[in-house]
Amino acid sequence: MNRRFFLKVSLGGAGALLIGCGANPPPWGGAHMPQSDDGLFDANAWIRIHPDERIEVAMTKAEMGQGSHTLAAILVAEELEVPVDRITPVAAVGPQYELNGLMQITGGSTSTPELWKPMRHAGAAARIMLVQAAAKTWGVPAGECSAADGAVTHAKSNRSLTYGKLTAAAAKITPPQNVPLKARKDFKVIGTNVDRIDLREKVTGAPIFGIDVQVPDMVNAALVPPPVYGSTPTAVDDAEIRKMPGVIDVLSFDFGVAVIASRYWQARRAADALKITWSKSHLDDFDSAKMLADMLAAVGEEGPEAQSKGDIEEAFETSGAQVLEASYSGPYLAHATLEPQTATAWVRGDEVDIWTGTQAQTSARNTAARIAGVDPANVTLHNTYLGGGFGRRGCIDAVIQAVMIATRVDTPVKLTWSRENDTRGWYYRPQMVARMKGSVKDGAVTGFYAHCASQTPGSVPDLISQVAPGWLSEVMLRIMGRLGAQLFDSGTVPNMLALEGMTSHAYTFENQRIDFSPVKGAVPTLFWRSVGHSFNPFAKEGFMDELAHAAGVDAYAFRRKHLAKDDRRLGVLDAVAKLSKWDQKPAEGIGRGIGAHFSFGSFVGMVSEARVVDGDIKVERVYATVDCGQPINRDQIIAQVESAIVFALGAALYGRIDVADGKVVQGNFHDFRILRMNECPEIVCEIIDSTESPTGMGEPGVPLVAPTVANAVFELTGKRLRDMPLVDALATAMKEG
Amino acid sequence: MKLTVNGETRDVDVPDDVPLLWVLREELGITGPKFGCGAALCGACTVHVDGEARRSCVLPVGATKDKPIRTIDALAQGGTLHAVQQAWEEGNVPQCGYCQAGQIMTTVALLEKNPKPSDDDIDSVLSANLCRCGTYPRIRRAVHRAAALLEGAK
Ligand code: FES
Ligand code: FES
Repeated sequence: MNRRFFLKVSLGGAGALLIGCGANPPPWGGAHMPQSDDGLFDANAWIRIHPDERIEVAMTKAEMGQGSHTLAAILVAEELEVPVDRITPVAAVGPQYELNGLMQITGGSTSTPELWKPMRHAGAAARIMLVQAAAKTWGVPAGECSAADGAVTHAKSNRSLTYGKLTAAAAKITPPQNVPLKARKDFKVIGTNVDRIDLREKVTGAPIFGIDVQVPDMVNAALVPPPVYGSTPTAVDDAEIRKMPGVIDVLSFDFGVAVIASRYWQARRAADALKITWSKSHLDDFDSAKMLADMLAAVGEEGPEAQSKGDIEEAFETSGAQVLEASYSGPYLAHATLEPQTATAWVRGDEVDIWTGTQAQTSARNTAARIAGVDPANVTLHNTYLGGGFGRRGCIDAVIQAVMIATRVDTPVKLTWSRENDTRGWYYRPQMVARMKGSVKDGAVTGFYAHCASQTPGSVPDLISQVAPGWLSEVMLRIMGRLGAQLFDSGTVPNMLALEGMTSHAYTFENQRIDFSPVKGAVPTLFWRSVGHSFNPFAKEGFMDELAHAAGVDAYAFRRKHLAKDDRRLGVLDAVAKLSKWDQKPAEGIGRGIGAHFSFGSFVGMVSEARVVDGDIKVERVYATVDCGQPINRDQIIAQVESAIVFALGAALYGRIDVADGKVVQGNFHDFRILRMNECPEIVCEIIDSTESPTGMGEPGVPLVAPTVANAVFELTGKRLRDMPLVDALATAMKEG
Repeated sequence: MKLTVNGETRDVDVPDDVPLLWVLREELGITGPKFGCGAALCGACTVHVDGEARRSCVLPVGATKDKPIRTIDALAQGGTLHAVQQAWEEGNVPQCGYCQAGQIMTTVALLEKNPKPSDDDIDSVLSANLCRCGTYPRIRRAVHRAAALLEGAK
């Protein structure tokens, strides 16, 4: 067992060491813990140095593959003057780590901007205290001492002490009021290529995930969820099941039936043999294909206006303007993290322990407290590594289920979802449609209109429970959830999440209007890597290509016309044109698509090169240029771009979740297809050097993949693919001839 | 029933038809092989049985009696990483890491049979191992690097 799982949140706690940070005082109150017998130096809420030279850093952002732990380690190491690989990550959960002042959550590509200053300040403050401690020990001015490589040196007298030897003295130093940060030119680590700090565990199969958690006396649970969302078990025939080996109990909840057994394999076998009668659900007749048809009909009319500028009607009616119209769509999608959802919970008296990998730390803790009826301070959340997140682990349904089960079991209990539970576990990227209408005149866009329809990505009641304070009652939450849903569904509040990437796209048009028809009463949806940016740019960039084609202008030149000179978007677009040699003819049989997009503070330009072979789309190469401000770890920026492209390409080509008669059709990887090794393109990524504040890269690589591939296929075949998944759209287009 | 896992003989008391994956993880506490799909569709659970890469989530434990079973947990010898693991570290391959035990075990078996695989060879074997984080480009490079490391070690 990894010791991480057993560490109570001890970095921080009571006490008062507030690190002054010059012009940017941090929002947290660090804690100067009394020096313990073993001579620890708790520099602040973030860093603890041991006499044996170990340096522990509090990891407030979940590590789900995106490299947040390595990032935090780099930022601390830069200012603390230690090699990055000396740092031991310790998952930390608690109110003192709510960096955005609202909650502790990992998502929205926020880890980089949120950690950028606090972690460096924490490292710098600790270094200043260590230097002062050494100076005091030697009786020399601190200004004559310098820190490097985990030690303080007094060059004049040729003396040196490692940090581990200074812990006791440093713990007595008054924390500095003014903590200046290094100038950019002095960076030694930031902006280079740094190895991930979790490599060893991840190449040796170490037990680092929620599914690997072992707690003494733990039992296992397998879940049978309702076949249709919203239905509940009314009768369970479990007489035979209870006799099966290892089975301890069969428990019914609103969310389904849980079989408790000594081992997971016993629980799973018993669960699969259960005979359950389910209540009716309001979604018994739900059909995603019918819903799509209804949405298409809805956007055929004009809708509630969400954004407007200039006069599109006038633009469309101007003589000599060419007017185009086309509808785009995208299906529901599952996140399909490779580790299915799991959570272990132990409810005993007024204390709760949870072991899981979650993106929603505050929400998991507060919700567990509400369910168990305890103070959130009595809930210890041991946040493990996540076997993939992509937004899915921002939803805490498995945690809620585990805690509810644990309230009825005397021992710790681990809930493990099967793959089918996970694929059919709802909280999908919403199905979407967008009817686009635009006009071109003299080779440029004169009017741009979109009427979008979708659910909001993220069930509103769930979102509210994410941000609600821990003390809020269940009843209040439900009322707030309903009010919030009404607000969104009424269409009077422009639906930011559903429209992002459409209202805030890369291009500037004089006349633009976006309408939005919210879709209600369907299955729960959620953030899915890049949220609204994961589908709106498909319509936006696809349609830009149609407009360029109609205007008879090259796709790259056409886009350039609509970007301002000093726009960083123009920078990434020009860079990707150069990187991909856009001005040269592509090889025989290759089609190309180009685009630029801005999301989560980062700018991305992309060119995809594809072939069509026997009706299948084979993407050979993707070029990406990214401007995410000051690069911190170049190798991991590239890793995230690769990851986002592979993730998005699988979705663009093959991904779909269909719901028929209220039931999800897909169940496992044979019918919910994700990208495989042999389908993976070569990825060429270039980072634009920048001195702007750094921004996240977990998501911005996603938006342009689907449209650039669809546009490449058009160049090759003359077929416009306007519906995802693209291989299905191509098959339909080929049949229609 | 007696199993030979990572060179040790272990006794387990389970029905023959329990998948090897759960016997390893739950009866023996060997958690390197991961559960991803339970249906031989993702490769996260890959172990070696008699030198062959097998999907332990669908392999009945009874079928592995008297055959040596090898998991990632014992791949590094005395603190020294296997060349494949070393190549994985050099190339910063893992992201979430969940698929990597399976990717590495599949690669070790591949290189034992085919010490110098081409890209097509790699595709034909590793396309059955899913990685949701999209580490495929790095896996490909790391397989070639591991082949070179093994070649150099000869
Ligand atoms: S868990 Fe065995 S192949 Fe997926
Ligand atoms: S590294 Fe996450 S699934 Fe492969």
